[in-house]
Amino acid sequence: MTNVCIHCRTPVQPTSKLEKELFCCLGCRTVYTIINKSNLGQYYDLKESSTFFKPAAPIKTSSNAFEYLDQEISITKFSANTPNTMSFYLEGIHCIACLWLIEQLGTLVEGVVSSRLNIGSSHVIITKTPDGSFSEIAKTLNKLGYTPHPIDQTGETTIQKKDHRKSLIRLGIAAACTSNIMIFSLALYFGVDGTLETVFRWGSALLLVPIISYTNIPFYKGVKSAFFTKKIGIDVPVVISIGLGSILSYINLITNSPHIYFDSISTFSFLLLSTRHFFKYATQKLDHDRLLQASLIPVEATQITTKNTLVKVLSDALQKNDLITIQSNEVIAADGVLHNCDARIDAHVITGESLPIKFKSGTQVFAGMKNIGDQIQIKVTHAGKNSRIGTLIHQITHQEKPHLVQLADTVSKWFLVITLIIGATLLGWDWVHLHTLAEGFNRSLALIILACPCALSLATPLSYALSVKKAAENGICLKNPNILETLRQIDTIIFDKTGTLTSGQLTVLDWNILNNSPPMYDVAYSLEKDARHPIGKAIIRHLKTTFQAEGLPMTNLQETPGVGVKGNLNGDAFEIKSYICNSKQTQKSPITSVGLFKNDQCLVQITLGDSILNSSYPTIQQLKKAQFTTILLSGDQTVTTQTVATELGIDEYYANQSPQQKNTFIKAHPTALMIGDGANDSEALMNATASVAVQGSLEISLIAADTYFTVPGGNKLIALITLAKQTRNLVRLNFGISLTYNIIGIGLVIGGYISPLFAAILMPLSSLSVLLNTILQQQKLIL
Amino acid sequence: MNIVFFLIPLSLILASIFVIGFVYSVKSGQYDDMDTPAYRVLLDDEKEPLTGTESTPKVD
Repeated sequence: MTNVCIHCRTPVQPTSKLEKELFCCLGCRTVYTIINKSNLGQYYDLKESSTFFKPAAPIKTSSNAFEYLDQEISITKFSANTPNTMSFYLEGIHCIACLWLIEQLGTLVEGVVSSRLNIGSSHVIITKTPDGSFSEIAKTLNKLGYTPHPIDQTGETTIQKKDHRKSLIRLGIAAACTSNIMIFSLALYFGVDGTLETVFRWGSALLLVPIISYTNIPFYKGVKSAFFTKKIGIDVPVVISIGLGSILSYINLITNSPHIYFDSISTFSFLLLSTRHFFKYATQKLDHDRLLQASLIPVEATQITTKNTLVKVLSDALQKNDLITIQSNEVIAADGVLHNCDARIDAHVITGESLPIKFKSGTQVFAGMKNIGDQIQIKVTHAGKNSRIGTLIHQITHQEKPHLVQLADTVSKWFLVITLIIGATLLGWDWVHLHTLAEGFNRSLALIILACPCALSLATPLSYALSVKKAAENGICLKNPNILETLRQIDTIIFDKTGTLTSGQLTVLDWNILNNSPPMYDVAYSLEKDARHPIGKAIIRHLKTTFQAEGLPMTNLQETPGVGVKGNLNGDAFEIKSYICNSKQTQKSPITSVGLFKNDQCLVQITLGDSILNSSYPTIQQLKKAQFTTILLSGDQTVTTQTVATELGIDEYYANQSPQQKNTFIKAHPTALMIGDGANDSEALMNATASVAVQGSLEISLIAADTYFTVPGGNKLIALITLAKQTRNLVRLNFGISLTYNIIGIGLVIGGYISPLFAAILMPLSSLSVLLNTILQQQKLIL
Repeated sequence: MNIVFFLIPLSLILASIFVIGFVYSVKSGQYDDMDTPAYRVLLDDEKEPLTGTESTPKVD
């Protein structure tokens, strides 16, 4: 435990032995100082003993000033009816110590009345005094390393919360009514008679009213939408059996006929409601347009006013033709046209291109691109939701994927149709032969109750929900359980290259020393120390991790964009610049190479590229063994793509693919699973039959894809495919069980061996057996 | 057996009181957060009251 950062416990290299308090970065040091100054050192004791959640990451603060939080527009948007209360989503909540620290916010900043954190959803509700300022509070949170994002009170999160509460209330009322109906029914089964019988019968009839009229509303809505979309869902048979069952029960109650089924109807409703509730809220994720947008484009922009002063404004609130300025290394906050300046831009969020591009004055740039050249000014064309990336996010989060008609629904639908036909035939037969409806009614009702495919409608979502949970425990996050069903059709796996099979970062692959020179690590380090270019950064990363290079007193350090860096040391001129020579070809997909020059003589050739992840080799091999076709689809040049494909043994490869081409390619392969990352893949991921995003991808990909892996690379793919197969088998098994059950039941009903009463007892039993089977089988699943 | 005629309405009244209580607790947000309260009780109370930290349960 010695050489770790005292705040976040990241291992660090001690710079001198005398130093007792080690930090991995300036951010952690700042937080440590703030916490200790306010006597909140207990934070570290709590952290030590906490086992909740993941370990903390080094402090990462955003440079936002949060001034927009005190402006009029934010107050109406983020704190709707209560001007002194605002909710934030906080990044980086990881343990009980965070909870404690956040709730002590009042000691750190003036004007906080209360601060309550929800540790599961990372939402904090902050109430301030009327004089307090939310921008100050937000700044403090940010300084502590919890980057806050205000929550739009008009947005989806609030609606979801209301839905959740309503669903819980429905469940509670259904449970209360059902349990009391059960008590009455038990007495009836044991044969009470006389006045008591009448009281119990009417009592259970009364208690069914709230279930029919209130708790079952979601089913009625399901039928309504099934009617409008002209697709029979599982809600249709549910409502028909509940409706027919209760109408007949009420008729039998009034006519004093013995057959009432209030208990079966209520149990059925309650079980169905509860499975749906847990299924829905166990799989629900926070997907918030705004949060996504904030992760890709800055929330704040620096506007140049007409009086030529600079103000920080909410980037959503920018108007057309506003002038904004973007510092070097800042992300552009709105779409716009370059105003009287050229720019060097890292556009990988939009195009996926890993090397910087030059833009001329007057050309269009987009929000989400990063300015890596000097300071630029742009004239805004579209901001916030209307920007290119904003519309993309909106499309992705709001476009419903065409849900597959699930097997359960199809089977239940036909089952229901057949049952209804048989029921009607029975009724007609009895009327013709016995000239009475009573016996026919009883048989038809027993049939409908028994044949209601509730076992299917309960067990299918439950198997899926349990598999989703199982997958999550293994680092596979399923956005949409449908993928488990969809994977059946998949016979081809399409890979994106960068970030999926490779690390996605420029890495030094080869440090080739020419002309017997020394390796020059220190010189290279000193030259690239402050470099902004990805190549320079890659060199620094390489030197830091492998060689412990030290800085030398370099003079005249100069970075020329597009050319390289140069500087002088002890009278010699050193330079790192582009250097292509064919002396040595490395195997691992080189992208570019640079040379380290001393007085114009090349001493070291540095080859940079994207290295293949170690996990990619076994993944491809296993997939090939399982008879999948593998395809590599890359936006990169042919040479690089080819090297990766041959190295890994991928069947086919296509290079130079634009996002549009990728999209067309995916559409032409309906049996393919697409695995990728990066915003340039998001459209293809959306349109793929099944899609997986991998860790390190942008959040936008995660929203576009059905699934994401929390570990880098595709090595969870096999586990996912196995899980999907096992889940489908389980669902089939349940189908088999409940169909057999129902067919035998129907046979007995037609023969007149089963009364509606018996059916009402058998029906919940069949559901129970299928549910138990699901839970038991699910425990056996191995990942 | 006459006592049953008194007990049945009584049980229904009790049941409805519980239902009302449940509805109230859901509406006041007590079920919004199922994780944090379990951890919050583990935190020690402050040794000396610090200004401005009354964490009264605030629900919207």
